[in-house]
Amino acid sequence: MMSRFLNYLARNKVQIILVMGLSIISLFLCVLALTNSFVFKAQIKDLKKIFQTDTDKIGVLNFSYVKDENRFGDDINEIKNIIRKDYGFICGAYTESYIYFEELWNNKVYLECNEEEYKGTFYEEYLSLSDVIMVDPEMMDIVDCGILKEDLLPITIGDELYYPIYVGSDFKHIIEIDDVLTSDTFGTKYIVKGYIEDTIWFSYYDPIEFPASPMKHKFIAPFGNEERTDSMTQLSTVNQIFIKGNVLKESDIRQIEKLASQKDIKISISTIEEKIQQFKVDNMEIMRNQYSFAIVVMICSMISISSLFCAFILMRIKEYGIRLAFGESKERLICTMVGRHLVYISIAMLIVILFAKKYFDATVLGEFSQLYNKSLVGYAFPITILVSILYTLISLIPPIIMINRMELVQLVKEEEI
Amino acid sequence: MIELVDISKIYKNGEQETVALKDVSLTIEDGEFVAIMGTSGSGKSTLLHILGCMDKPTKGTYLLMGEDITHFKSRQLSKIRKSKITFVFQNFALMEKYTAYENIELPLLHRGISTRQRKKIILDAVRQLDIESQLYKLPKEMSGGQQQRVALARALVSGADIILADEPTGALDHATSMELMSILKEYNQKGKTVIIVTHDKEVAEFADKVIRIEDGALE
Repeated sequence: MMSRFLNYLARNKVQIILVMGLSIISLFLCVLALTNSFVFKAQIKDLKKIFQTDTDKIGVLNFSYVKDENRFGDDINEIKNIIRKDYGFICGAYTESYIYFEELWNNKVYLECNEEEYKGTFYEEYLSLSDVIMVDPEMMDIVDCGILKEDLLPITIGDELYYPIYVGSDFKHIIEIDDVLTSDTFGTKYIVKGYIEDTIWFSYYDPIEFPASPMKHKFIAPFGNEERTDSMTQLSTVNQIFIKGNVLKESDIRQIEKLASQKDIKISISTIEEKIQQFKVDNMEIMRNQYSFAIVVMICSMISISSLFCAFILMRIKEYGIRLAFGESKERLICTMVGRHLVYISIAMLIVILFAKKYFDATVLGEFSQLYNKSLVGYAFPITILVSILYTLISLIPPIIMINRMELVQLVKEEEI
Repeated sequence: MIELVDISKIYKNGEQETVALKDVSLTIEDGEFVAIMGTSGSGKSTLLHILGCMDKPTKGTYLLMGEDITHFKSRQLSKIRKSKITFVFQNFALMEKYTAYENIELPLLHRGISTRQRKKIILDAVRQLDIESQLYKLPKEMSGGQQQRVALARALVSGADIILADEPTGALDHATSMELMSILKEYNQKGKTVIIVTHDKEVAEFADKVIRIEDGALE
């Protein structure tokens, strides 16, 4: 059986190469379009998962101009306080920065733990840096990461003021509860109060347009007194300041924008939902183009494969006549053809899977790689397998009809067998 | 036993009808050697196609080994061609891309016979026909006589009791033709029913019974 199949492959290499080539190209485009589409959907789904409430009840402050950057720390705190008190909104900001903790500076296990995570990034040369998300405690009323606002309130032990810090689960074996960590920037002291498990947070680059990433290798802590007023730290929260209310009234939004402009800061406020919709609009066009291209290529490829099979049937008409004369049924001829084509498609699919994996590994940015892998393995491949079966069956309809219409006597006469 | 009762075959081409066979009735006993003779276009090949279950009659009854197979569907006819009837064609009808071994193996495929068993059957047949040395050659590498022996080996390995041969000597020289007919006669004497279509009187002389056909009717 196997040797017969191998002989068949050797005899029909031209046909096989053509069919496989066409299948690989069209299935690869299909995988590409599906993966991109699922990545896009998964990204939005993850983003919505981070927020506690509907995304139309949460706004984000978009900054376009800050006149006096040195005063930004004080100005933004004043604006946030007015938003909280006068308008009754929850308002909080976050920033993500890499800082040194004195206690971890020379911790070998910690450095080893970071080695794998930082590999290939700018930070691979600075393994003792820690990825810390600093937040206003109010952020915990906006996002859902398993930590409450109260969990981030400062603690006084003796004369010392400590801030609670939560540690990613990757460091469970290194950092214990109640361990103290000291930031080398402002000397802020943190006390470990818990671990963060299976939680995601906004991208370091952009909260909306970049995919959220797991927090298992990060820390989360409130701004210390110094960080809260430090203009440089607060400038890094630009476009990462959120407001939340039951209803975000247009009039309130305009007044907040006006309030900021009085301090020579130009902002506009849009809801997260508006941002998502804009992101969708921007990406849908690309998605649509990719899908259309993949569909057109698949249709062309199906027509070509169909024609190829029909041509090869015509070229082998004598063989079909002989096989039928010696008792093979048309059904068996059809089954053999479909079976062989399914084998080609399976091999093509395998090549596409390997190639797509390599392709995405090589071209996708680090932040997207996990999302791409998830979409590729979880959605794009299973759907492409179904598509490829459908693609095989559709492309084989004309050849099947051709075999079914064969008249043995005609074959015998025409080919003078 | 093969029994045809009032068999007619009419080909329709639009409104035009061509009568290929007209009320043909005949009986062929098991183990008989029958030659069907007739001029070109007389209907002898059509008769052979119907006998070989490659074509269906328009009218009449076809009884094969007592069973009425007139209205059998194409899949049922395939089964008959697989087990009860086998063919030798004028131009050998060998698959050009396949070796002699693979050509001979064709009727044995999809029958649940193991590879080893198939090989044994094939080697037995090629030994009897003295074409062992041709086994792994392609048809184009063989002479006409050798090709026809391969075709005959293919017909014999199927184990069918009825051998239908359509002008089997048509593409062979005289000596090779006589040799082939002797082999067919030998198998007939071993119990096979042999039906050949020919216009060659010398070939027909090998048969026990000669059926003459003209304008679609038996004479």
